[in-house]
Amino acid sequence: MAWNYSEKTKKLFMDAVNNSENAHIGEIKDPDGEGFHGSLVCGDAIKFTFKVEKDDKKPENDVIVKAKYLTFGCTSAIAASEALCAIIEKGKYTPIKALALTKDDIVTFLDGLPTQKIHCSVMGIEALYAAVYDWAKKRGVDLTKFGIKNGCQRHEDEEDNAIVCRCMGMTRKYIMDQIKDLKLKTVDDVVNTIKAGSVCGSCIDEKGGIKDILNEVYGKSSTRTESAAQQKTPYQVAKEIEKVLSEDIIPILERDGGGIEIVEIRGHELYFKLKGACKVCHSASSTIEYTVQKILRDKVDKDVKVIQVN
Amino acid sequence: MSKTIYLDYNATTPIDPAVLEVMLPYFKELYANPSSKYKFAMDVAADVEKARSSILKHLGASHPEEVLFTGSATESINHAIRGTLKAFPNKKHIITTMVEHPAVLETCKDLERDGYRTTFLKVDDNGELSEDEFRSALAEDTGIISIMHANNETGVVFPIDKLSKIAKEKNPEILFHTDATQSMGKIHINLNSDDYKHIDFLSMSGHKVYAPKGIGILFTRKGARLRKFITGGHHEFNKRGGTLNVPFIIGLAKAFELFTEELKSGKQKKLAQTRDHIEKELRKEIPYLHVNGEKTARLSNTTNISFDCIEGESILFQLDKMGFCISSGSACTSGSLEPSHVLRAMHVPITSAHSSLRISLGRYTNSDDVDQLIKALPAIIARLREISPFWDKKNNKPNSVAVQYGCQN
Repeated sequence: MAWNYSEKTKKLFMDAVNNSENAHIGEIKDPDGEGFHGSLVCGDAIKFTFKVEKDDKKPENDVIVKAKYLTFGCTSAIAASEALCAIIEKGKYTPIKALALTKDDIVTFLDGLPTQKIHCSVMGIEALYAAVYDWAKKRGVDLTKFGIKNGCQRHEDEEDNAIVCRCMGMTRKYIMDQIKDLKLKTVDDVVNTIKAGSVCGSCIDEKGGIKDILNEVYGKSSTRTESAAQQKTPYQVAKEIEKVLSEDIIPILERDGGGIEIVEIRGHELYFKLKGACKVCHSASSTIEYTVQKILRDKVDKDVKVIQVN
Repeated sequence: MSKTIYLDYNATTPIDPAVLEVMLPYFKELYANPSSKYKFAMDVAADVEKARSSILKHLGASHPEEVLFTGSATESINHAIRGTLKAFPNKKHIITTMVEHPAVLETCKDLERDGYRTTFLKVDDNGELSEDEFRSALAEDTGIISIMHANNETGVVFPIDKLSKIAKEKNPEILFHTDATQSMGKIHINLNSDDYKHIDFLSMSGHKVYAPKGIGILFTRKGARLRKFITGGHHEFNKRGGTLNVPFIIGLAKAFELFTEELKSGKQKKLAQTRDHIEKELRKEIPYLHVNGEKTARLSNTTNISFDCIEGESILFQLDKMGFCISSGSACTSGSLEPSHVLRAMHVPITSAHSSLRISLGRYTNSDDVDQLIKALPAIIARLREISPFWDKKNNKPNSVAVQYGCQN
């Protein structure tokens, strides 16, 4: 693949590797906020730390004055990390205001990113959010008082901005607009044309996912048809789940140094724990949950549900 | 822009000036279609046949119709696999390996959609196949076996002589194809020798042997049944339609002549020394470095190296800026977001699979190019590790987080 990075992206990357004075590489000692996103398995990861100028009376008015990162990843992942730190330092954001930043701010700062690299900007933003939550915890700030819900659901009240395809960082609105503009009719059209759902595929079937968006655009209620035929007994289902797991799924995971442990099979529900390499990989867990569920639904029963327990 | 330092001969090779020279008249005055029946054309046809018999001789083939000119190795591979299966409608099984080039893998996967079964043989950590697994994969209805001679990413060489013999002993009807795209010109292949006499089909490509892109060969042993893949006129003994690419055929014959000479000259041994030198020097400077496939027979020109805790594309980007042309098995350099299927099949730890570099040397590689690489790479790796959240800078080794993922400490 040719590198069609913007000049800005290339420059920021070279600044980083040449350790120029405006680079933000490193780790802040005793940071006020620290966030990590990504994994060694998946090919990119960032550790993001920041320091604030403290407001002794109102910690919510703390201002981020310094930001640093360590990043494992490709050219654009490192450039996006630089961009994140530059935006944060320049904007004199309070951590709460920083939560309003999105991947688009990073993409704009970089003068655009190739579509396959959008996830690099998402990674930066996710690490920023994690660092802000860390700051809130350390400073005793209750984020819910500021209308911020916990974790990744902070966009919940802005449905259109909700990220649907997490791997590519594509929002519901973006996918919907593209479906309409480009007249995409099927899941394959969407995957092949805009690459939403092309990486882990977990957003294709889930609630509010690509299938649902397609149905919404074309006015169908749901593609999931119920068929009463071929009902299996709960015992049969449990037996078959066990068989498919041991023959088809576990060997593949073990080959990659990971694995899953069956905790319980209750009717159509499989409760499991991750083992080995899968356990430490945050991105792997949702991918595995989805993949295992998909295989079991294909091979055993469409109602199988896979639930990860800790 | 800095000078180009080309270290990617497995991707393609430059055209040898001697090859270009013999081609030129056929672009200019000798433009006739060799299928026409007047003297002007028949003279050109005679030159084509001369080229064919020269190639034939170098390959150790016996009959002119055993050498078909195609558009690429990919075409040759499609022709061999699909053409055989069409010729044997009762054969529904294919055997290949997990580490083939997409030309083979995707062809097999496409055939699976039409009801064929494929066995994709696994490789071990060194990139080697298991003879036992191969033996037990042979089925009643196995129609074709397609196993590459040498791997494009690691250079690992498969014992096609042994495997084809095993297959023929089990069932002489099973046809054996080898993708020799990477080994041609690097390993001497005599299809008439005892080693290679069980090979029924062989594919190769001109642009890996200092001839142009857009020309390939399919060797088809006399008597091996094969349906036409590209239908059209009665060209190529009625085995492949399409007007002959005369200048490229003439050039390819010259390329065969040149590499046959080169193989006798001990050039490959020199390349192996250069490759070993690169590996040795980089090892001295870079800790936590892995040479993939080093424990087994490899092409003399190829090395595949990976580094713990960093990502390959950011290495390549910097090398590119300095003028180096090198490939990577990193996910980020491809559209797929998945690291190399070859390295994954070899169980290269995921902690280093993202950072593999393939360095491949060739006819025009000189010691200065290699020295520059040896000089440049350690600093790039060290700096990216400093930036990586998985690296312990103080002790210059993977940190505790990386160890959790399975990095050796």
